[in-house]
Amino acid sequence: MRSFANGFFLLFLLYSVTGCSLAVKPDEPEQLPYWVNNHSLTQAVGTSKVNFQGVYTQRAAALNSAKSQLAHNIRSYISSSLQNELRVSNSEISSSFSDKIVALSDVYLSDVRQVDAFFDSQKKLYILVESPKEKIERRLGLASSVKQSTESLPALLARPYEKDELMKSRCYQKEILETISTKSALFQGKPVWFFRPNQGGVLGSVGIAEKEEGMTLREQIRVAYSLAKASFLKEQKMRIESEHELLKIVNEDIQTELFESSTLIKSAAKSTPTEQKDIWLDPKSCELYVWIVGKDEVRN
Amino acid sequence: MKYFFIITTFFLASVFAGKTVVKTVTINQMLYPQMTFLQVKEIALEEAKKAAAKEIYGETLISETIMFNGKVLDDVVREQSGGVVRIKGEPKFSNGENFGDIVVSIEAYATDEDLQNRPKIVEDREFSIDDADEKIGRLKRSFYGLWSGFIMRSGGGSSDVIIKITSSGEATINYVASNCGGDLITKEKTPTMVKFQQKLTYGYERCTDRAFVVLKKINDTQSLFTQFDEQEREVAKGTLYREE
Repeated sequence: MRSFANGFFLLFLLYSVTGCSLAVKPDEPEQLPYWVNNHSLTQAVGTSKVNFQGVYTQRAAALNSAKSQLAHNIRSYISSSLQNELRVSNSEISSSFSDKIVALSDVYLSDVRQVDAFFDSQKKLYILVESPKEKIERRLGLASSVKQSTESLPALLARPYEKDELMKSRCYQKEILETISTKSALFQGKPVWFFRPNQGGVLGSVGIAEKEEGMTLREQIRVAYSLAKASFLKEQKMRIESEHELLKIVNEDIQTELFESSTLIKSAAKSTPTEQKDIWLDPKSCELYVWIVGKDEVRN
Repeated sequence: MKYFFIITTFFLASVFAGKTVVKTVTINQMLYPQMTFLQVKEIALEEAKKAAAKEIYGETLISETIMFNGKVLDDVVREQSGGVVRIKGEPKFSNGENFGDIVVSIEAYATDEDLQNRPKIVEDREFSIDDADEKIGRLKRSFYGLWSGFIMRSGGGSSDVIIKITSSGEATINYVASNCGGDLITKEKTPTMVKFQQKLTYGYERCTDRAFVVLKKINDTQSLFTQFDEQEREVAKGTLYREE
């Protein structure tokens, strides 16, 4: 027993002398894709935390935030108003000021495409969107000054899709589940096209429909397909009206910063021929994902 | 020669008049377990007609999304298509590749007159979002106005409270019974909650300075008032009503 105690003491001494510590090392920062912090003016990143309303809402929030950000990259009108107040009361002087910075953007954007997406360990979704350099230059009235990102995306470490996972699901009866055939491999538990709907020159879009009570698979597919088509057309041309407002208030030693943003994205266009390229049902949440591509783009 | 001319004219007229499409739709009966075979056949036929209408008249998709502070408030997609679709002959039903598949094939057409009389569809710049600006405006103004009510302090006692929030976001508070009050500085804000830090400008000896005040919207006319001390302990609570 004594020799064990001596051994432990010696080990502790060795750790102390060599500068090693028994303390737990802090976690290393999470490795996010390079584009989260490094993207050009023709690109923008939108994020959205996980929410109880499902991936459809989370994706819509991240995607539209990215589009709003892109609109502000391209053109925005910034106004700033500073208000300063000095008060004298009972021989005491107090001061306060507020600074309001408003950025307004109202632009028509075309060919805005989702380039990539990523979920971090907290299930926060990051989406990267891009508009072609030429379109932005035309919008700005510039001649080849905007840099287009030339970084190629790394391959996703995807795993093959296994139908067994779907067959264990309670979303639908087994016979109905059998009719869903997913072709794509999965990355972060979702089909690769969820992250990269536009791959290899093929223009595509994703629609996600949640399962509502009493809804048949056919109805769910129809909703997802409609949403995918609307998203596909929106990417071709849309109007973005967006307002970002930052309010800084300093009242003696109380300081505060408030950020508020509102965005309205509209599109109305005649439908172009599209084709369903793949389908995937989330076996746990029962959300149905449909990937469509422009019909001219379909290559088997 | 005369007959040839008549036949050719008739042929060309029939080929180029209106628009004709052939549509084939497959529906699996398994997807409609509650329905009879005849009802599923009817659905298949309806789907084929819809597909034909989309092809003949085209389809317009109107999509509108409203976001506030990074959250989707409203996301609407409308499909518009339609016009008179006529069916040539009888629909042809058959079995599909999979067990339970019902395949229907129709030859649908619209005459020139149908095409001319088709309903006009809103496109491009003429958006029709339902009060989008008003919705965003309502959220921004959600707490603006004059609020008053009665609060109970956890240490005993009560007071009438009046809070005024201007459209520029400046806010003041008055504790009427305690004869104290001051500025409210916004620390956090969501469409349904706003958190202020209180900075007294009078009545220091009768009220606690630097307390936090939280207003939570119950509905458009009522808000829950909670006051916390600097250690975030709840010290007072009540309901305020919108006066203006």
